[in-house]
Amino acid sequence: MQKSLNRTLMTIIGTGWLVFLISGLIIVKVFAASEITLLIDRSYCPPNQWQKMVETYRDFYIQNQEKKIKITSVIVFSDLAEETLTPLPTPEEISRINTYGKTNPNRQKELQKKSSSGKILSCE
Amino acid sequence: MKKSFLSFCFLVGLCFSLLWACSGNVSNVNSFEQATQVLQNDVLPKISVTNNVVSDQVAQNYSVKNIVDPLPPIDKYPLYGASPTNDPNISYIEIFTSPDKGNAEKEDERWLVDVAEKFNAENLKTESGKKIQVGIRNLPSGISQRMIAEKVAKPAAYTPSNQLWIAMLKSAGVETKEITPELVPNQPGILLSQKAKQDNFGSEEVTFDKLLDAIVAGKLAVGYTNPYTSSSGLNLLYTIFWRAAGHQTDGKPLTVSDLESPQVNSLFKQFQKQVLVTGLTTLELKDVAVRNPEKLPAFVTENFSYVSLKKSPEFAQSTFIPFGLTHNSPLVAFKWTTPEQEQGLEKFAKFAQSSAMQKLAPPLGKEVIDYLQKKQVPPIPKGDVLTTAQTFWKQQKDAGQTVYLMTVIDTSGSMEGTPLNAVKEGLRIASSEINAGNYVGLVSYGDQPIDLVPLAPFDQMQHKRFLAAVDSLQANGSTAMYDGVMVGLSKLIEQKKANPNGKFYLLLLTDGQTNRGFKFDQIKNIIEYSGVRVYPIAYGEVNQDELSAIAALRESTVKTGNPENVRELLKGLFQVNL
Repeated sequence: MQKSLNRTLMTIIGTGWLVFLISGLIIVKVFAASEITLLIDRSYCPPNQWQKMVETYRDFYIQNQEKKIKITSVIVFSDLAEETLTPLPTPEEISRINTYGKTNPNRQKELQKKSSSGKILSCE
Repeated sequence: MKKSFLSFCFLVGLCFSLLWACSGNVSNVNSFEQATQVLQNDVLPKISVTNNVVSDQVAQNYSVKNIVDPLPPIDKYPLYGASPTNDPNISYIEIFTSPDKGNAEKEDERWLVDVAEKFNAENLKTESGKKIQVGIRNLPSGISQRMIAEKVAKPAAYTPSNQLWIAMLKSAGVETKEITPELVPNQPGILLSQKAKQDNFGSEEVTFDKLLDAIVAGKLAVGYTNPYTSSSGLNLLYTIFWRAAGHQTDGKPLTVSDLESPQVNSLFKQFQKQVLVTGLTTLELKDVAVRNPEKLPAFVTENFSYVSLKKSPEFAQSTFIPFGLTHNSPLVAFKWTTPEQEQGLEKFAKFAQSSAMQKLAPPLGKEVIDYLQKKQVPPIPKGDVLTTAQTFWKQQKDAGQTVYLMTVIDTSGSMEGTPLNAVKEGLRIASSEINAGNYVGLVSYGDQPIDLVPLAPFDQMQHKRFLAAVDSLQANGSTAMYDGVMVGLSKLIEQKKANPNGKFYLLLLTDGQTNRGFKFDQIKNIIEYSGVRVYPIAYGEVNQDELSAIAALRESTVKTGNPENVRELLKGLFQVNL
């Protein structure tokens, strides 16, 4: 009698925990911060316009700090090559990046194709 | 006994103290601040400087216009193989060649000399029965291009490293007739150290685009050669402009309007910020890279040289990244080449292209073959575009940084006559290569330093002061070289305090060993921590080891000068540095 009572109790507690875990996972999944890849075009940009771009980056950066979004990676690209910046650069580091050469729409398209959550930041 | 021993010890101590004091030894120097302090407090007070600054009244009498830059006499450049002859049974053909294949002094650069010697030994004849004999004149492609364009020399044929010089000849109105587009294949490239490759690219394949991106992004320093005289230097410059203009997508050649675009300008400016040395030869770059592998991890060279560089331990693990047009050594004749000489040239080209002769040349590496297969070689532009590109380079090469140069010239007694006259002529011509706004000053030394031109921005008046001071140089006295160097250095250091981001150079020309004033060991650390790069010119019987040690303190090499070459040497140094 006592044995079957214990088993029922264990089942109730186990099921409760399982439901709790599943609910947690659902909440995490549904309300998770959206992931984003930032693609920064470093082709020639006059300094004042580059600073505007840096402000846009700063907005994303702050949102990432506040866990409203998750920046998965920051890729800077030029007409010549591309590079993933790790760890996540600060807006000040981005403002110090030098810009040069022509923009390369083909490289931009390829990068966008590779990352569905890619957001282009370019000279404003 | 004890008293006399103490007296003896006291006397010995006193002697040592006096010796130390007389030696003029300067305190230890480990930083720029200390170098400045020691120079001001311990060194300069012991140097007596004659103030002979050129007055503006005297300087006004000098004209900066019409400074003629005569080309060097042709016999200054070595001739290999056959020599000119009056023998009516011989058809003599002189070919101007680039040093990458016509330098008999170096095993990896003498291919054309070997081919010519073998060809001459064959005793082949023209249709009219004359024996064909070929002479190979080795001179930099840029110099031969100028000589031919200005009709100072009329060789039977010309084989520069690449087609760019021929395009420039055409735009200068010289008609050429192609004998063959390729005598032997060679390829310029950038040698990248193993460490730099590992740090920046890991195991990735490195293309020229990736390397250029790393350079302009500020991750790597680079060295290359003077685009006015060197084929590799001109090719690199053209390739950077062509690539910056985005012509890899449309395959079109560079145009003059491309050079004016901010896109091209921005890339070139960033590139120039990363240039550690612009050498007069690739050999100079190699020497700097061997001594400073961390500071100069990438420099321009050619496949021929790379093959032999790979054999040395310093470069055994390096990577060669090809760029630009192929250095295929085209062979062209001219309007003045006789039909008989043309026949001879055809036979010579065929002989050179035979597999036995091609085997004498270093083989192309796998990286070069892969590069050529990709067919991304830039097209040949118009010659006037290249001339504009050279001018653009000269004006923009310092990327906004001011250059400060003190010229320190030996005027000791042994410089009397031809040696000093050649230096004066060289400085006069070289002064035309100084960009306005850069700072230039002049100090000479014999028994003691003489202040002639204070370090000031180069404008028309400063140019006149410089010319007047050069004109006033007189040989006399002994060689207080380091006293002269210290005076020159003190003026540069003063400017460096005001503008730490400038480029600071000291050009030191000496023809003898220091026999007066400070010695090398006493002031070595001051030079080392001054932040000034010294370019020593060994102009006679000098202490080569000491000059090499000075050059090695910062990224420089000793240049060997003599009355015959000093003009070109000074011009080259002023061209690339000022």
